[in-house]
Amino acid sequence: MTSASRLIPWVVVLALGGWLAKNAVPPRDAAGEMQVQEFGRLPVVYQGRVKPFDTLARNGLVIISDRQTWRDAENKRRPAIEWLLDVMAETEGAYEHKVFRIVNLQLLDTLGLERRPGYRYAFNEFQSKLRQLDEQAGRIARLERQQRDAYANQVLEFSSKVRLFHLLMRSHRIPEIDRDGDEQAMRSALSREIALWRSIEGREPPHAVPPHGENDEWKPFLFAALRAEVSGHADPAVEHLAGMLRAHKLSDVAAFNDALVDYKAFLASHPLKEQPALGFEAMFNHFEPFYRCSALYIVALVLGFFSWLGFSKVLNRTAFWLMFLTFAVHTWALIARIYISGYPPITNLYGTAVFIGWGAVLLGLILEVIYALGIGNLIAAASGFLTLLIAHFLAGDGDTLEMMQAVLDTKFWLATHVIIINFGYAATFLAGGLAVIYVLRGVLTRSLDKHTEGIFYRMIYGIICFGMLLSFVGTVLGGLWADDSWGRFWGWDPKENGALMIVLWNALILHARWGGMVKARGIAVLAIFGSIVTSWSWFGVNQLGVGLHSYGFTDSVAFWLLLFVLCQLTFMGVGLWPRARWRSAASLSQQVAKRVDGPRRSTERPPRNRPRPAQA
Amino acid sequence: MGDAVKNILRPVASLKLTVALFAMSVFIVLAGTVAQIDKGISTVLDEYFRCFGTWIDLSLFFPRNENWAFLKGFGFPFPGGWLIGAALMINIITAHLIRFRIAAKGARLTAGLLILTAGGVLTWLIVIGVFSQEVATTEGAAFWRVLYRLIQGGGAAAILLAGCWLVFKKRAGIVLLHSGVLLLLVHEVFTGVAAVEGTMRINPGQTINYLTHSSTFELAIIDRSDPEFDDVRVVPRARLRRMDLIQDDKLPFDIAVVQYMKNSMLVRPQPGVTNRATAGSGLRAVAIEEPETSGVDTEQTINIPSIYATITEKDTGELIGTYLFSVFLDGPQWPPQLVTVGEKTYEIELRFGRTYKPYSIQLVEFRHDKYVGTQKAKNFSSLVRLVDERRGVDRTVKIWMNNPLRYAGETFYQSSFEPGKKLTILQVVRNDGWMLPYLACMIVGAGLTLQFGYTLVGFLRRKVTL
Repeated sequence: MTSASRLIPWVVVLALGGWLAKNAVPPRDAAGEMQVQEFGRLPVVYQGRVKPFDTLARNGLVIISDRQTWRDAENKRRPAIEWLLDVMAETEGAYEHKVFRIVNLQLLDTLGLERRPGYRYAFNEFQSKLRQLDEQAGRIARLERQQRDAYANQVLEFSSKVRLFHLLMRSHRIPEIDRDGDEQAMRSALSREIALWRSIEGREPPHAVPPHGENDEWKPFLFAALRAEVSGHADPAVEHLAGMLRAHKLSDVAAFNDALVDYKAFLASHPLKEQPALGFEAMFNHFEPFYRCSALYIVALVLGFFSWLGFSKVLNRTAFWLMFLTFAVHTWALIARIYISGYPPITNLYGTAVFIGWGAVLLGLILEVIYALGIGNLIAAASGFLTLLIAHFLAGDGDTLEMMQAVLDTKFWLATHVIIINFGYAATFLAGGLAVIYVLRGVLTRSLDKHTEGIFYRMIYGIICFGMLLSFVGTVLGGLWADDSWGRFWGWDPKENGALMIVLWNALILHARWGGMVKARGIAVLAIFGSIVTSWSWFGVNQLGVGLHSYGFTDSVAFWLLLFVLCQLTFMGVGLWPRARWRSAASLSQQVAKRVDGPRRSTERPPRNRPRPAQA
Repeated sequence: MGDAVKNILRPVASLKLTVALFAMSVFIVLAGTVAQIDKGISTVLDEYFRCFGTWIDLSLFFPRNENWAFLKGFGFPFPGGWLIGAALMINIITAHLIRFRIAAKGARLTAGLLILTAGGVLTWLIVIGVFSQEVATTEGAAFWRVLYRLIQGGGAAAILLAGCWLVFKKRAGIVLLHSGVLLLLVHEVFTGVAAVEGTMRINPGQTINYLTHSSTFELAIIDRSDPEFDDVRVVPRARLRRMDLIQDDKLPFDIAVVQYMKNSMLVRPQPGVTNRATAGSGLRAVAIEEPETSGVDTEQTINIPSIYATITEKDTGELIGTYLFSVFLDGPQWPPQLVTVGEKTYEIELRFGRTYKPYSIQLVEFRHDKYVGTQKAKNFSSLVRLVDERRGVDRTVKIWMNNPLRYAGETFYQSSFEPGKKLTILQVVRNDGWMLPYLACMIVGAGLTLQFGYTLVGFLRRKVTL
């Protein structure tokens, strides 16, 4: 390697590291402008967790718009928090911003809207049709789930977006009660505002007002404002928040910033019971580490592919160090989630995707350290990217840091059973992925020789052993959790059965190998099926109750799962193609030159447990 | 062992059989999972797992809609869970008998066998609960509780590992992990045969001394005429299902079941809904048959059994009436259904099966907290008073989510509650083999680690000597 090519990995890693660092710096409000980013770091309770308004804004916008940002009338990208402030203060803009994403053509028709690039519409554009839509939604909601077609599901989804919009707006409404007017008018205004509150009370509104005094709780803004109004006891937090919202509505920069400073001072002098990392969470939101990671995984994947065409050493080294950097960011992001939520890393499906990706990348990098053939890089980058992609689609429902159902709220078990079993999933997927690369390389290219085949064989075998250990221990720990919590070690419920099937399948592979029934190719084909078993356990069992007979099949998890299974079955079929017809057949049949990496190759080892003649 | 015996055992011990059995296990587990779309867990257990043979319908694996209706009736027989499990056990045991011979001799062998015996005794002591407390509650300490049990298991595993290592040398890991797997299989058989589950529904202040079993139910005929005790006669579920004519010498009437519903829904009588009942609560409610609740149901509802039965006077053969009996007919708005013949009045009710206990539990207080601003349950807990005069126990304990009470071999879990009401539902389980999985976990874990450790060390050594 020339000294110039030695430098290439460092240049690439430094450049991309710089890109990461640049995006990690949280945005600042320009002096003399409204301090909206600063507002985004104020606390609010939504879905049971104290979080910054920034998170509420992003999650709300993701649900409504599928994006964390929006574009204003000049088509400039704006942060979510500006949109949320407009909604909370009920400015004109709240109704004019084109944020509602509607893709169903029939639904667009119902709403009297034209197709447009991006499919995003403003509230004003469909407001007049909402009554009609509400009636439809009411009718559909009474139907059984199985009877709803794709349009019906879209209507329900859209009306839930509108409800969220209203919820965010109304729960921060400043009651309009004229204290100086006549009593009759004041009464009717009050009852109107209370009726408004009743209309959102049961819909789990955000709680923006912190506890005031010892026995108080977090309250929705409208509720706290009405309570202050009725009782005559002013609530300072309500005053400050109302000041900001009023100033925002009037675009009064100075008043907004003053109220913000006052509220921050108030919060500092009345510390919360919880110690939420609001600024850190806002920074985490802005950094979007998992998005950055998936971009870098793609770069590494491309480098890995190009390494097959030439310059393989340099490209592999670059890919490896890039993967190393990305893995560090991925790890940091996992730890950041723990820090923010106070929970172990996996509390929902989103968490599993992020974690399984992390585990697969870790194992892939370890393989790369051992064999330095580029295979570890490739599989790590591919699994990192795919799992983060899956995570992205799972994040569509809003906050990915949910509070736990009481039944599951045992941090100890979340930290042991769940982590171990998901590591087991990661290992089983990784073995399947390696097997796919092996099969494709052998059948479609001439590059697979006996030596490389031996390495694949050992990698797959080793990873399956590891996966077996983890999935067994993880499954049993899950049973012990169930025993300790509900007195039932094993209940044969679908999720438990899914985990058991992984253990059984890994055991099957290992025994088939020990019995000499399979060699490199056989173990690869079985390992690919292992991915199917694992995906069944990961996603399939969740689909049993709903997915199989719903009409929205094509955009459902069940569809992707089926597609994945069919792909894997195809790979298995390819692997079963007669070996003599593989493009690598020639190189596989040649004896390897003396560059073996050890005195024995496991392909030639006798099967372990076969009965042997008695020892003397 | 003689060669002839070995030759017979060899096919039984073959790894090919092991692999085939694993494949069959994966398949039966899959079938038993998808079957839960249509059926409740207890039915699936009986039809797929806790049986020797089963029938696999092809339609199990396809969407439940008309397009696939043509598959109805196609299927094939398949071994059930018991049979596969038994075959696996035999396979493991014979494989160890003929393949693994004792590698040690002399003093080493003696020492090894002694240690193995000690480990076996320790295992047994742990299983029968020598190290567990009689009345045990701990608050918020799942970690310590489980760690303590795993340490017990780990102690036994360590001793067994040492013994195995002395006796079997390099094969120690394999022997140990397979014995752990055997323990797990034994535990599952034991649970299937011997474990008892029930629930206690307790209103605030109420004291209850029996378990109810929602998996079974019975028709109870109660004579409360004696002030000292109630005379209760119980008709078991099987007889109700067979729609037998129920006659008893002590009873002045006969009961004939005319309709049997495993699961039902109660509706108000209205035009267009035929009502078979001519007397009692059945005049105010009609039972309509419903499909059995399914195992994947997120609501986790239980079956509501109901029956219609005609009651006739024994002496005269005169019809007293057709009654509706349902476990749903419970609570203040449904007074007991009374049948009077001559001087005597009997109370008749359909109720979930009961087991009476020598102790009683009273609900002192039920608490239920939610996360701020949501309907999501944060925790729920029951403060109960446990009284057992036999053993002189009278104490107040708190049972809450993930923190059960263990008493007299039974375990009381906070299972659920009814929204809006202050009553608690406790799940009560008796499984005398409950410590087995803790042991098996550590034993298999130790065996696997040792075995794969060998592989890894061998692998790394080869890398180093490159």
